[in-house]
Formats: sequence, C-alpha cells, structure tokens
Amino acid sequence: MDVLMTIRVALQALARSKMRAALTVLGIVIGVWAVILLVSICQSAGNKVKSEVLSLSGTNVIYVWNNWRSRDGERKRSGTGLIASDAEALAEECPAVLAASPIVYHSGQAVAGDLNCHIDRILGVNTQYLTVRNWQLGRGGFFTQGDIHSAAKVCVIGQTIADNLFPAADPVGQSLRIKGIPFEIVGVLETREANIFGEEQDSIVLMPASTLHKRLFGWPEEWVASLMVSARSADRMEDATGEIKALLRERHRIVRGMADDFEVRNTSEFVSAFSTITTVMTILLGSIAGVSLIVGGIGIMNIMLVSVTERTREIGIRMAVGARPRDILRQFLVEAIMLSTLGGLLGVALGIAFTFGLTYAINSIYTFTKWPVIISVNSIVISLLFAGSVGLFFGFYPARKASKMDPIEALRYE
Amino acid sequence: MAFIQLQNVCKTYRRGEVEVRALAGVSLDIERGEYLALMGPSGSGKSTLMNSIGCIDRPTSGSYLLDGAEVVKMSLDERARLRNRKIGFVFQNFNLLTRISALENVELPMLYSQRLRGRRRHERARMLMKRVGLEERLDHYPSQLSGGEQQRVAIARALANRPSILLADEPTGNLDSHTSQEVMELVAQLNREEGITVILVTHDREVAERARRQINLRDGAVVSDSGCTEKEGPTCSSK
Repeated sequence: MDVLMTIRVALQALARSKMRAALTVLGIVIGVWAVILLVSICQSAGNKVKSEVLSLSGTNVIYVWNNWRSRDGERKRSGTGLIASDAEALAEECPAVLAASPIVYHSGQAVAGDLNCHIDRILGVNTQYLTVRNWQLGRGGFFTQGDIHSAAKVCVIGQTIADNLFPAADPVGQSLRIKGIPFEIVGVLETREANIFGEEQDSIVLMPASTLHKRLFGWPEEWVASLMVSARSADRMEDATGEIKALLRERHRIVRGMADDFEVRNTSEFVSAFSTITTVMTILLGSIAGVSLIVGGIGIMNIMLVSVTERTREIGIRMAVGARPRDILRQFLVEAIMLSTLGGLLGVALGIAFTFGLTYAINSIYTFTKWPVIISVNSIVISLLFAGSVGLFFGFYPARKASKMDPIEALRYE
Repeated sequence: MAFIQLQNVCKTYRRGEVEVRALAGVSLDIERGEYLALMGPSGSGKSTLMNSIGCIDRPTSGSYLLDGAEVVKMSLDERARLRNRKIGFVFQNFNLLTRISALENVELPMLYSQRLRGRRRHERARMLMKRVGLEERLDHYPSQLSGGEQQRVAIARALANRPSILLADEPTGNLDSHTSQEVMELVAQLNREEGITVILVTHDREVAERARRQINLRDGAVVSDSGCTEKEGPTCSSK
C-alpha cells in the first residue's frame, strides 16, 4: 500500500474514534503547548532584558575596570591603576570616544532639614557623565570643571531624592547633608524608569569624583573604581575599545608583554552574556516541558496496544488479502505518528494562543513593561518534530506486535 | 505438472502442552480449473489443509508447489504476495472490514497489489460488485447488508486481483438454504466461465456434491478422493 493510502486509512481509523484519539493525544498537546509557551516566554524575557540593558546604558557604552590580578593569579599591581584623569585623557585623545567619566561608588543617608532618606548610589563622576549615560537634567545645572578642581561641595540629585527631601520646594539652590557634610544642590536629573531588575534609577546623587574622594572618603588620591566611556557610534565600538586599551597602557606605563591592569567590557558583551543565560533557561525549561511529551508518548503506546488487540481480526483480514507484515507495521506506525503530529499541531496552536494571552495579561497588569510577543519558530519546528518522533518511537512496539500476528490466529479472534 | 502439487504435507502445532498433528502427510494434485470440495469431520485437518493451500499457513514438512513454485520455503512477504495475486479467500463469517463500505472492501486487495490506482481501481471494484449482483449496494456498510449479500461482497473481494484459486471455507455455513443456493451458483459460475480453481471446505453434502471432485479427510489424512478414480492413481495417494 502506498504512503498516501496508508495515511488515508490511518485518518479513517482515527476519525472512527474521535474521542479516544483526542484523549490519547492530550499528553502530546499539553507537552507541545508547554514547550511553545515556556520557550516563547523565555525568549521574550531575554529580549526584554536585552533591550533594557541597551536602553539602560545606550548601545555604545564601554566600561573599564581595574584589574589587579596579574597573569600568575597573584594580586599585585602591574600598573598604576585607573585614575580620574584617565577619563579626560580618553575623551580628548581617542578619536572614537565621545565622552568618558570616572565612576566612584558610594551609598548612604542624606538629610535635609528634618527629612532624611537612603541614597542607593552616590557617584563621583565628571562633567561628561550625563553625555555618557545619555541622561538629561530636569532642572538647574550641572557642576563645572572648576567644581572638580576645587572639590567643591556641590551635587546633582535624582528625582526620588528630590521628592523625599524636598516634597514641597524646588531643591535647586538648597543643600543636603551626607555624613554631616553639606552639599549644595545645583541640579535635578530627569526621571528614569526602573530597569528590568526593578532597580530604581532615580535614587542617585552625583558629585565630582574629587569631592567624593576628599570630602567623604578623606583620600588624597584620585584612584577610581571604573571608567564609563561612550563611543561616537555603535559601529565604532571596536575602534574605541582598541584606542582605550592603547592609551591606558601608555598612561599606566605598562611595558610590552605585561598584562593590562584594567579590563574593558562593552554592552554587547553584557548582552551576549544575557543571551547565554536566556538560552540556557530556554533549553532547561524546554526540556522539562519535553518530558511531558514523552509521557504523552507512553499514552499513545498504551492506546495503540489496545487498538492493535481490538483490531486483531482486521489485521487477519488484511493479511489474508495480501498485506505483508511491513504493510501492517506501516499502517499502525503511521497511525501513531498521525496521532502525535495532530496532537503536536493542536499544541502549537494552543501554545501560540496562550503566549499571546499571557503577554497581553502581563502587559495589562504591569503597564510599563511592554513585554514583546516572540513566538519561536525553532520551538515550533523542534516540538513538532519531537512529537512526530515520539509517535514513531512509542508507536513502533504496538505496530510491530500487530505485524507479527499469525493471520490464522488473527482471523479466529473474536 | 499439476497446478497445485502437495507432497507428504505435514502440519503439527502445539496447543499448550499437547502437540496436535493437523496434517499427517497429505499428497494431492489439483489441476487448474478444478472444482473441489474438502470434507471431513471437524478436527480432520481440512481447514489446515486449505490454509496451507491458501499460503496463510505453512506446512511443517513436505512440499507444496503452487504453479511450480515451492511455497514451504517462501518468506512471509512472498506468501503475502501469493495470497494477494493468486488466491481469493471466502470465509464462513464473511470477514469483511465492518467500518468501510462494501466497495472499499472489494478494493482492499488492490490496495496491497498496487497494480491499479485511483479511478481504475474504483472502476474494477464497481465492475466486480456488478458481477456479484450488488451494483446497488456499493456504499453500504457490511452491517447494512444481508448475509448473502455480505458473502457476495466477500466473493467480489476475493476476485479483485484476478486470482487463479478461490478458497472457500464453509461459505454457506452462515446462510439459509436459499441464499446458499445463490452463492454456490455464483461460485460455480466463476469456475465454469472464468476457469477459476475452486476449493471449498464444507460439511454440507449438498454443497459438496456441486463440486466435481470430493476429497474426504480424517485425522489429517486423505481417506477418499473421488478425483482419484478418474486419474492415474499414484500422485494422489494418501498416507
């Protein structure tokens, strides 16, 4: 019997017991549904994170960190370490660099009058910080080069700090105290949305790195934890990275052959790291959902075994009129594969519907997320293929059993 | 050489602990176009003999030449092919597939032979249904047909691939005497007009007497063969 005919016969056989067929494939339906839904949700989450990371810092931000470890793993300095003036030098001397700022981290409590609040991040930066972050001022101005030189006690605050400490008044021109030291507020930053991790961005105070060092830490030195650099465009990231490395090696007097005392990372590396995480998550969740496909396959095997027994006489008749064992095998195998594939198609339809539904629900509950709908074509193709193989695998034993029947016994079967 | 040549055919099988000897060395020659009835009490091995001739069953020992080809040594596939091309079966309980129409039942052997496809296969099936007088019943399901009609569908199915042998196992066993007559008339006609070799197993003396040759079996051996008297003796000896 040819393949088309076999498929027709299989469809007829399935159509005769629709309810049973539907129940049999339920396992496969749920399996494929879960695979599609989980993989799609994972991938949208990955994409969301990626776009957040990019919007957080811009596409062309490069980070430079101190790296104290030498090649043999000992902690020893092979250079001078990053200093605040490295940032200015990068901005001036590297053609691919648009702006660069040192970053010195601190956090603490701010007090103004009888109000106080916690500040997530007190950052020591330079005048180019806002350019690097692509951030605007909401009110007032920014501190100047002169403020940096004199380590002036000035700061620019985020909207949350403004709201907490100065609920009624305009904070510009007022002052707040950190560790008892008063800082004059020269400007307020434009508000920013929380990032994907739910971290608030507006609980921030910016001041000159020199001020943070001298006034808050009491250090004379100008060592900084990191530099944040922006390239002129996304295409010039590679150029900028090369220029930064060359200039910093020169400035830190690192001799040829010695390792860098810093590490350069850019956003695309973060993004690829996130992508790796999402891929791992996708595979993990996809496989867990895949387990239910196997369970579904066992359901198919079970019903196919029952069906083979029930249709013993049919098998005998077919053999008597000239069906070869392989014809019988093929007939039942095709039936099992049809079952699992139909179940797979139904699962795909449900999976897509649920992905849209769930995304819609997420977006209407958390209106700010704008979660994207991503239906992974790969997951559809793979889960359909997998469902088909499950049918093939679990259908084989019953089909083989059918093909091994003795026609005489089969014809006598009541 | 005879069309069907059985030589010392034995068949033993186990039923639980007991070994049953269904055929105890049957030797038989059957010529093309014969009309032959196998008779004997139940357990005499007539069904086993017929299943062996029909290539459903394989003798344990001996030789069975069908049209010069040794069936005993054939593979399952080769015997399936023979059943499909050269042999048509008619059973006591009709053995139609209940969930497909009469016409589709008739088409069934042609699906496995693949010699005719699509419309030409339908046409042949329709022609056969007409041949057995059921052109009005094409789309009926077996359950909607009377016993005689079902048996005629089964005969049409048996004829699908122009077999040279028609094997009928108690074809009238489930029919009343009137429809029995009709069915047996049809069988006789096929033998007469188309030269199909007919071998039937029956208890019914009346049915058996329509055949030109009667063979009686007992305990797996031929005890009498009316054909023997007409032909030269030694080939159809019984042991």
